[in-house]
Amino acid sequence: MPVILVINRYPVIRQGLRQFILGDLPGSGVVEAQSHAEALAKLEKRKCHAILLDLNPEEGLDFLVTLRRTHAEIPVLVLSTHVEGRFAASVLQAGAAGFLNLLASQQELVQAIRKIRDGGRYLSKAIAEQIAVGPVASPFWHPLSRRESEILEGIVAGRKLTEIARELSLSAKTVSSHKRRLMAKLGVSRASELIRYAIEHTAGDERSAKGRVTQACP
Amino acid sequence: MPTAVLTLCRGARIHWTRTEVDTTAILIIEDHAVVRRGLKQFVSKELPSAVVEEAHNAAAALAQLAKREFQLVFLDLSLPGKGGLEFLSELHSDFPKTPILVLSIHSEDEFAVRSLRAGASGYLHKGSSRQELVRAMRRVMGGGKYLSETMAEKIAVGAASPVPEDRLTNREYEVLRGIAAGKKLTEIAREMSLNTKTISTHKRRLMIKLNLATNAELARFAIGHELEAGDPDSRGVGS
Repeated sequence: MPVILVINRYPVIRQGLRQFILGDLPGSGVVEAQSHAEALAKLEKRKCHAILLDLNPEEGLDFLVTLRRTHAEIPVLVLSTHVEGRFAASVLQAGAAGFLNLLASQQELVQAIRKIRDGGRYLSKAIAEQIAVGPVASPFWHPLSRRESEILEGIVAGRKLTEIARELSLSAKTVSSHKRRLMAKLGVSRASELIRYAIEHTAGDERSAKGRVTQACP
Repeated sequence: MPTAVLTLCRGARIHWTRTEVDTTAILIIEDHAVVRRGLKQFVSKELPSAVVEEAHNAAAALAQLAKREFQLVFLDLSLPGKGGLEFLSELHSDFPKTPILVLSIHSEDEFAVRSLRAGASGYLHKGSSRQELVRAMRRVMGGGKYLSETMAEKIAVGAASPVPEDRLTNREYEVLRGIAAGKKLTEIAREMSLNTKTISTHKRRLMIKLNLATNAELARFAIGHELEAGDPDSRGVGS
């Protein structure tokens, strides 16, 4: 019996996915996990054949990368409220077999699961188009490390580097080099550009759900 | 059976009480199919004989509401097309006897207070457990109001020290949230079904109310607001 691991922090979404799977993929088993830690624990105990992973840009790709390293044989379908070509491209590059909008219909969700469970890849037409016409050279979106994110927050909030250093119990020199590194990663040369970047990439599910969806998937 | 009662009471305005209604009808207004499905499952488990209808947008919701009386409505605050709080107000004024339970991806107090003021009977975070959801359902269907303990506490704290955003109207507040999320004014206009000029006006007014003179100050305020309001959930699945 193919077992699908559903990793999502919302009980109501886990339940919805469970119902879709049980309804349209009869014979499947569903295992749920609320957190990354729980997911890894479940993977230890039960052989899974596919993973549905909830992921948004502000979380970083670390867990996905970990999954792909420790459980390379299990295809991962990423579900997200942030449906931008560049993010999708990064996710695929990190090893996901598919990427899908959480807004998708039951039909599409099931289709995607079936596809990746059978070893294929899945992308909705809309996202595929975005990726196709977008910049291909390197992923636009460079995930910042936690430290770099903290420092970015501090800068954007208008705090001096020495203040940030004190808050994070780091030396000012360390904060300086983190700042230089994160600016290089983000491709910005001025602090004011950092603020704009921060506005554009502020954690915000609502923004993702409302603003970024370019088209409802069929 | 309802039909018999209608004949007898022809001409009179029928007031359905819960005991007179044969089946409980519940409406879920939410644009994510997967959330609708999960919610429907939780609701059906709790009330197996209930009729659960779904609507993915305001128009579909109104169509459903025209067909029958509902004992409960779940409303997603981030429903696209119509500013959530505005649609909530409309629903409440058009169907004052129907309790509305707002579902939101925000677990903060700001929207909770505004939702209740706009007519909601309760406010639930989408990340709520099934037990909490059920508790909320029972509470509001019984005529009460529902807030989680943490929410109630936050509101109590907030009431003691009001934040500047309290001064904003619902529309101004939604525009501020849109800007904080990095959306262009045209995007915000589209989402709220208003024209860009109106959004501009709201933006100007909210800046005055919040004492912000430049776009940079607005950006800083908005970011500070977003960062402060960041709840553990928005930082993703806990590791």
